[in-house]
Amino acid sequence: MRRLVAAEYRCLELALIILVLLNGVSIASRYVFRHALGELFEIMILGGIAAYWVAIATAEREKAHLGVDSFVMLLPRRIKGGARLVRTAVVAAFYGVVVWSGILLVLRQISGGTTAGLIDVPLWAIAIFIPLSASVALWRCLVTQPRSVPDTGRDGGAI
Amino acid sequence: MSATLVVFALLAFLIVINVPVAIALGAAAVVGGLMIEGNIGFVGSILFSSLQKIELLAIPFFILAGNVFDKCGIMRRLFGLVDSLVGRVRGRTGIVTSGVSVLLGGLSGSGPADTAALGATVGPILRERGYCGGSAGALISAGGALGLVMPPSIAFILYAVAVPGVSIGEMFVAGLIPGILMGLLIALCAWMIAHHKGFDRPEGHVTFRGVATAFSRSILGLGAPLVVVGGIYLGVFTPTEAAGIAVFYGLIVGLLVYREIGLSDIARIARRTMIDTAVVFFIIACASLFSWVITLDGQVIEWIMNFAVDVQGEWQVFLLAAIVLLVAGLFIDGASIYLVIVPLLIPAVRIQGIDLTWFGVFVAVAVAIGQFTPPVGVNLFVAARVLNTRIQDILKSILPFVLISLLALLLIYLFPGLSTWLPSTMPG
Repeated sequence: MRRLVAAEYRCLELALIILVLLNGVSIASRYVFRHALGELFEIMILGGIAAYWVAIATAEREKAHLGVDSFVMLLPRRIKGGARLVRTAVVAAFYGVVVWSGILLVLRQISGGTTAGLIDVPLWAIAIFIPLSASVALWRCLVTQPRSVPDTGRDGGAI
Repeated sequence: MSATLVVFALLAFLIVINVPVAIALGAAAVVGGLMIEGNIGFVGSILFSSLQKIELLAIPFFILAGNVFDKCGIMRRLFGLVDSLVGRVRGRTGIVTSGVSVLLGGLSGSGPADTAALGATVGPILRERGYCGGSAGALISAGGALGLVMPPSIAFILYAVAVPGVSIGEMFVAGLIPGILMGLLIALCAWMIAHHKGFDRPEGHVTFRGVATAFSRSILGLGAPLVVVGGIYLGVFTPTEAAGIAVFYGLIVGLLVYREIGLSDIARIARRTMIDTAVVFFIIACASLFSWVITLDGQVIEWIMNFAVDVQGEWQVFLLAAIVLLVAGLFIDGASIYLVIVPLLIPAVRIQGIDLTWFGVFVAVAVAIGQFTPPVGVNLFVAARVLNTRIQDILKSILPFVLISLLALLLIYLFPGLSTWLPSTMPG
């Protein structure tokens, strides 16, 4: 598992570096060579989606997804335990739905031969990250205990 | 029972039991979708297509730029600059904190990120100058929320995603004056609190030499918002390009000029950025799922359309928006509000002919207030963690900042020019 985590981290770091470089190339191409490259935006958008889904699973591992614990903290201990069980069940069920519907989406895209507009990449190659990452997140949600206070990461996460 | 009522009731229940907001939105939408469609096949395709928006591309770059500037010691320099400009007044540190929040808001774009950065650098100074944990936390939570109003705000990008036809660049420029106004009001509040409680005594003087030294140390940091906002204002860059330039600028300043970050830090910053981005994007994807179900059911849209036809003036739309956004802000995060609540209000806004830029700034300030209003107020949690203080202590001190920010909201409603004048001067 440590190898998977390390691979995820390297993948995220690399993905962001590639995004930054592609944006740099796009800017240089538009302002230096006076030629806008629409394909680069499509690569950044689709590549970004794959990377964000990997990061969603990583965020599940770090319990970085924002939640509201103010109400649960007011509950008696027994009910708190029950609430935790329900919460884990809901999170697992949702990831399960995402895995299932993600697989359906990928199968639909393969059978329909759907490709991206400009770069002609098959969309299933990107969409497959949805069920894959959701499976990892599902596994993580079942084997790790949620913290009582959500850890939003050092920088706080959302907007 | 209608699917809309079920999904809202289920959403409220799931949030109360601490299910992550993104998953609560998604799970409630799945149940609603099952009631309407009878299957879950729609989930994958909406989760996928919701992130295929070019406007969203700027978000990871702005988060990265904010993280790079945070790591390269810009906070300390900005604090030194504002500190050198504020004279011998009581509550000086509070006023300086508010000024730094305004400048920092121009570097980041995320409320919690700004709160964390402010807390780490300014928090210890506030404690040293007599502020208790609660007062310091309240000031930092309120100051951090300015990141949502000052350009480049991620909130404005989400607004442009939620409301077709709105320009991100115009929203960035529109947020400048209201952001400064809110910062001034927070400074006024900090000054009044310091007077009332008798801490943070007046000390130091404004000297030309002191200002010049502080300015020369921080000028490179100040250059980033100038490049971003100036470039967008003049129509030179798109927001995504401006974000990319901010990243390169930050890396050059951090690695080669200030030399406070090394290549080894880059990996850690990249990882943090991707996780922060994923948290936002997961909410966006799940909120899109939720919005899709609400739209499909049509009940809320019908209510809003009936309301929009019945209302007598734009003040009623603003009043409804303020109540809905402030109440929603108590329980759910900013990104969800933008993608779930704001699109529901827009038909009424359009029918009344309200300027979408003005309304967008009003929404941003209302959502920013929600970020430091109990019980959810994500900034409160971040400030409590960074300052190592109890959240209950911050809650005791937050009320004056909430009230003064509500005054800012009222002023933005009463004087639309605060939001619309600057964008109207944009060339082209």
